[in-house]
Amino acid sequence: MSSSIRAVPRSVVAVGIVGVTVLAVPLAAIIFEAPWAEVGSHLGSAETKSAIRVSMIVSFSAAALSVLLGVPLAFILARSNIRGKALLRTVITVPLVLPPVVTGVALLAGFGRRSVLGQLLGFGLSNSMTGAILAATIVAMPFLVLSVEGSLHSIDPDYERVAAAFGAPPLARWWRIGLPLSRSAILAGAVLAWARALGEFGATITFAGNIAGVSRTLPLEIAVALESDPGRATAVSLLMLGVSLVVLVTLRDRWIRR
Amino acid sequence: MTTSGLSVDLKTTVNDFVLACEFEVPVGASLAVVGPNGSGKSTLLSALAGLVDVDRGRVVISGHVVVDSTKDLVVAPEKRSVAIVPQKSLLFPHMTVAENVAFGLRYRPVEDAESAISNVLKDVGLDRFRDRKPGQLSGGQQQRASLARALVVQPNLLLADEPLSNVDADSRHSLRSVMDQWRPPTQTQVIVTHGHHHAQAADLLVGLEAGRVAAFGEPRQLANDTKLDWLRDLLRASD
Repeated sequence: MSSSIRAVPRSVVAVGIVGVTVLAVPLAAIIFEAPWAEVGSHLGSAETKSAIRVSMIVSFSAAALSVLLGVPLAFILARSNIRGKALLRTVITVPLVLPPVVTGVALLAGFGRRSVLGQLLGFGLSNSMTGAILAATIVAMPFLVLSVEGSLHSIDPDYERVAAAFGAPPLARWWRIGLPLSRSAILAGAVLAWARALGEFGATITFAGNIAGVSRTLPLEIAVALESDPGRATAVSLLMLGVSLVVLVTLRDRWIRR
Repeated sequence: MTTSGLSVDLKTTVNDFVLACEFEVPVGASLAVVGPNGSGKSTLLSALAGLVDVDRGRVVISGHVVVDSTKDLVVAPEKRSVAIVPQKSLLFPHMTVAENVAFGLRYRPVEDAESAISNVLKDVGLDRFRDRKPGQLSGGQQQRASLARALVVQPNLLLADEPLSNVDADSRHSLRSVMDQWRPPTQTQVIVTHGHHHAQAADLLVGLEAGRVAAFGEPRQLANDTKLDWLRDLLRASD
């Protein structure tokens, strides 16, 4: 098509410019305001290193758990005809729209020390790294499930049917056909889930607490540093901004180039 | 008395389309399925393979009852001795040609699978392409690979949906003899076709119209007897 027809009116473009400015100004400000000379020492400090360690363990565990538990859910949503699928999808999607702090309160009620389960076992998962992993998994998994489910709808289910006609039982069809065909979607979903887990704040601080070396992840460390050492808060924020950009670049083929 | 290779009496509904048909094919015979677009040919194959649900009826493949609605019996597709050549090839895109051909043998083992795979690939003219992925093949080559994947299993019932439609005319003749060559004497073949070769060469023919059997019999006889113009044209056509 020729570009002689204006596809988007000027007024709409003007609003668009305002929108992108609102998004870009804070990001640019972090970069300009950063105490660049001290970024190295801030990131090398014992507190930051400890938060990086906690964040890595928590976010990668949450991403792995999301894949392990989320991929089967995505297949159920995309391929099965079970009753109550709408309810299932709602349960899986709720953490996307729920304020994370509410997810944290719900986790306390379900798995905290004073929960039924906690009293039964004699211990809860709150204020622990396991709790931080659980909180991050719950908020991250919906991203993986919805991303994989979406891609499964674009994979012809006839491949799995043909595999059945050639004698492959259900598990083999899933393992040898369905799973490999959705490999790139699972990878993309895992990266997305990992990024969400890395940024998780509200559910973590509510359920897992803010214990250095145990549940104090990078976002929690930023919140702590803002009170005492704003320069360090900015330096850690820069680090997280960098990670986010790397994630975007990794997944650019899926989302940006359209 | 001839043993039945395939006995069909079924009714199935797929997206509001109703297919209801009844016929019987002796063991080792070939059946050509012909009919206009949307007459239910592909649905029939899917129903025989167990890939769509059957509303009611009875289907027997080489003596094995695979559907009997009076007994609430439906045998899962993977437990039927069938192999299928789908209309759109449907080679598994993440596997090489050789891996695709090997797929069915994993679940229905034969002696010396490796040489069976090499031989069938040679016969369909794909021995040089065994390590390619389906995406690197032409439409005709994909169809050959899809055919090889089904032939190598040597099932009791071979279901083929226009298996040679994308193959160039010169190769069709030789591929038809490959299909015969790989066919054990007990194999019943059901071949959906628009071409007069398969239709005329089959032992039996079923003509479908709007989900019903409009003609059934030996092609040579039908060529004289049938009142269906399109069927008479097909059965009297030549190159």
